[in-house]
Amino acid sequence: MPIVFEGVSHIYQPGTPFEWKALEDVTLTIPDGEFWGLIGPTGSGKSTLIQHMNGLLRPTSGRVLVDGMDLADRSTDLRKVRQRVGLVFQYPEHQLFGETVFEDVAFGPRNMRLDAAEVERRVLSALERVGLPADIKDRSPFGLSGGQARRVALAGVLAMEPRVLILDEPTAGLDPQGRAEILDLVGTFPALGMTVILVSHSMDDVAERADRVLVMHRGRVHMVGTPRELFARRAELEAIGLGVPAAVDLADKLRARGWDLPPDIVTLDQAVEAIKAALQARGKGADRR
Amino acid sequence: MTFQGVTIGQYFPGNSLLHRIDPRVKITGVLLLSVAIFLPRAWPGYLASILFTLILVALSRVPLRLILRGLRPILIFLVITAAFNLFLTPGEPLFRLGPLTATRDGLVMVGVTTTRLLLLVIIASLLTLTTSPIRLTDGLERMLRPLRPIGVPAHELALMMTIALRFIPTLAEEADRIMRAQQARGASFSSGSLMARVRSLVPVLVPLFVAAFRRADELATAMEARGYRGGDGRTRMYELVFAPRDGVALAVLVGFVVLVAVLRLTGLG
Repeated sequence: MPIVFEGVSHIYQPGTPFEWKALEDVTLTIPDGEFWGLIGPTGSGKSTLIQHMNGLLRPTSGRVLVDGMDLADRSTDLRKVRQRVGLVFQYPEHQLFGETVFEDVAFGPRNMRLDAAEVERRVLSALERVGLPADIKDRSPFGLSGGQARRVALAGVLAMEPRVLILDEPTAGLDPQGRAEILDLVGTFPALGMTVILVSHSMDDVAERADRVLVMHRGRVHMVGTPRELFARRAELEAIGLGVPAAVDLADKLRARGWDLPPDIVTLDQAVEAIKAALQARGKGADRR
Repeated sequence: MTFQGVTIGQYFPGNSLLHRIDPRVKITGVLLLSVAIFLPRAWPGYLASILFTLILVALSRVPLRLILRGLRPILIFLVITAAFNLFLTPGEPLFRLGPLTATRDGLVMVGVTTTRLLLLVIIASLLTLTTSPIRLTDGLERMLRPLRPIGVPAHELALMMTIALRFIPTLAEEADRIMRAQQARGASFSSGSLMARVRSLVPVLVPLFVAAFRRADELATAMEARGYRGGDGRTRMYELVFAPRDGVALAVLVGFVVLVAVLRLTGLG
């Protein structure tokens, strides 16, 4: 179910002194089963954009089509759209409310009017998928650690078994290990046929995993491309206050000092391999000081 | 359904004479005028009250539209009061409506109570329209300070008011965010029976309360980290200064109350 934006603009509080053009003429297509990174500085329209994908916001002008359904159309069942397009907000653990983890995760499936057996199956499988032990289901969500609570919140959306999963800064406020765990987990979803859209302001978060990166700036689509294509235009990224991942930065600096490195270095592992190969080519350790 | 644009207190930023007057004078003024409005017994007194209020409205430079909007919530109250007065005041019959008889004295009462209530609300809203919440609480704190020896926690009360006002927009935003998150999980707040709608608020209210307590905790920690220990010995960035114009304003207010009182005592108004 591709997500298509056709000339979408969104204006908050039009006609007041607080008028704010959050999106301007956004046209793009997100095909099935891809992992997209959505990047942009604060206020670039990322959150506004993703809320258009499940009908929480309606475009001021233009059209949003999910699976061919026009979200602005009154006859479109938004509940159905929201079951297919799961949206995990920032700090999703702040939205937990159930007496038990089970009750909370079951909220989405129950809103879908599934029978009790199916709800239970989905809750348990969602908890398993986010890597939580099954016996956590009877605990209060308010007694969990930050990382556990975030996984429960994520399970709450996964339990609706959406085909598109949008995550707004899912690693915000987590320690490095928690970040890596969440990102690795999210990285497994496209293989299951799920489209994943990961919102972040950190290039490092998306560079390693995303098939394609969408860069937003001042409400407009600034660039779209594979991570490699984007990092080749480093100056443009830096002009809007975005950097490149540490590995790309290192490779660029080494190239500037005359190292012969391949052009496709995006991840840390690739950088390590390339540097090793370059060192070997020069004669082991000859350049070390 | 969103909470965007919620404002409490209805401060209208400006720099009119009324805006610049010391909040203590304005608070005292509202108290004095509330008494003055209920003094008149005949038309010269009412006329004076209406004129004085209109002058205040003009001086405030607040658009009339905003003041009228502030009257909307009490409209129903006014209508009910008027109906009771019209039909339940004994006196010379005017007309009949079913079993009810409207009286001439009732009609007079309607005019009197409606005028008084309207003036009262206009004057009270002029206070909040022309005084920012911070200046209002500052003023209250200074006015309550003399009561501290008898156990009135003036500073704490003012601080509570400031914090409450400060956090209303924050909590409204939080509520909006939580509602969206639950909507993304298929919640609906605008369909179903009344009971279903009330129940649908649980997934919003629980996280909202949790958030409020979390914010309160964080705020307390942040205040302690900056050495907050109550109002003792605290200095201010903006001191309230009682300027000559504040003295004049107070004199005018007292003068008006005296005028109305004299009118009544002499039987003129």
